[in-house]
Amino acid sequence: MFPFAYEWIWDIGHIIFFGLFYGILSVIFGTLTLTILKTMLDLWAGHIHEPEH
Amino acid sequence: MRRWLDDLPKYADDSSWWPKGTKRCRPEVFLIWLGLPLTLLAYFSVGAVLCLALGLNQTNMNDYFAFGVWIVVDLAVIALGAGAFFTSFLNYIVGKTELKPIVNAAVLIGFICYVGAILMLGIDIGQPIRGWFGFWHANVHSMLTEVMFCITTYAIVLTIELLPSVLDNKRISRVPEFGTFSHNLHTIMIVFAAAGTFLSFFHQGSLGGMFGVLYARPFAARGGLGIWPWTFFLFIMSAIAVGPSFTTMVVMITEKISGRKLTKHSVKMLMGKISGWLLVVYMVFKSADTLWWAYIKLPAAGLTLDSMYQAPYGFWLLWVEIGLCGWLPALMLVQEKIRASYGWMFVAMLLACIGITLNRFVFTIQSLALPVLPFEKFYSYLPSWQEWGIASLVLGFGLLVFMLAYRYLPIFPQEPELND
Repeated sequence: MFPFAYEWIWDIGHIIFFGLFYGILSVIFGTLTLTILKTMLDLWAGHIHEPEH
Repeated sequence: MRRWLDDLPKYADDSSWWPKGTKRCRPEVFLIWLGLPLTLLAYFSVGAVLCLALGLNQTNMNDYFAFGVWIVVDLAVIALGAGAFFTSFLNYIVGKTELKPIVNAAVLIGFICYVGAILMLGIDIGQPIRGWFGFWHANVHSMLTEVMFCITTYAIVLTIELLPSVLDNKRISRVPEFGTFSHNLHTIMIVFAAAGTFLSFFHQGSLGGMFGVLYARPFAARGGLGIWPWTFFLFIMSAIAVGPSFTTMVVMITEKISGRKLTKHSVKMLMGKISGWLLVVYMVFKSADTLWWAYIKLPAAGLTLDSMYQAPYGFWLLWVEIGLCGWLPALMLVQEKIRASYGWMFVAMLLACIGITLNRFVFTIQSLALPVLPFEKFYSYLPSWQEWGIASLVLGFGLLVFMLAYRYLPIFPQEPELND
């Protein structure tokens, strides 16, 4: 549910619930995106991680 | 055709995919082993098709038992899978790096438990294609909304945590993009471990909290702290206590079946020690909660403890849960002598896991079995074969994923050196 949905109410329940939910999703997907970007930069710079085996 | 058959062993040779320095059974033997999970999944498919096509009348759930074996299995595997978040928390955040050799296994087991539970609940909700309604039309006053948010999000976290193990496969890691991505994921894993800890803490708690706020169900209802009933905290404590035990137990079973050592015994002993002391703490609070409930809460509501335990759910359940499968394994696991013994440690861990499964069973089934209106009586519930079929998904899916992961992924980093 997003704040523009007709069911949304600006009360403490919705703010806490969805604030934490979208907050944690942002952390997870933000970190994942940064890791992907760093991998792309590493590969462009030629910093390839060789497997240990 | 003949030539193709002659060349078949060459095509079937998958040894280049095995983790470095390990040996696995021949492909034909592995295929026979795969028959077990595939049979369970076929059983699940029959039950799922019947429930989806004909409805929940295929189950023995009714107006009294709105929760049945699926919720019992769901709550049990979510608790047993807590080894993933707690071991990751101890390894990445607390800095208990001695647990590193078992973290991959813990994450894999957690992934199996959570994804298995979510798939099974897909059938429980009746119309899986409307599963997203829970997110879009969320009831923010429900503990179950929090559970749903956290379990699904944590399943994503577990998938990300498992990804490096997949990318570290001997063949896959040769691709520079995958190898480098896996390396970078390893370096940032602490963020996912922290996110997983946060999510797990709340959904384990809310699963317990859901029972504690059932004010019309005297077996489950409890007082609490603020908006959180005591069961909120008891469920967290019990999950972090048995999670490490279940992870270690699965590793020990794998060792016995494969005939290979997978982690040093000192790592298993440490897991047992953590589990044991956490179980002691949990049992102290659980015993106090039970005494308060039996001698203060129930009499205050005009009820007695005797009325809570009736055939077939008699007092034996209480003694088995708190005594035989609660205090006994807790006291066993805190002793170094017991932990040093492979067999006794396994027995203690098995008892602990049975105890927590029983705890989830009584909270789910016994809470609903008790009469709450004057014209009701004490009911009992037995799942239908279709329900067992759907519940077997967790086992079938788990075995399939674990067998494939054990064969192809470097889940146990100590295996090569222990089997030289």
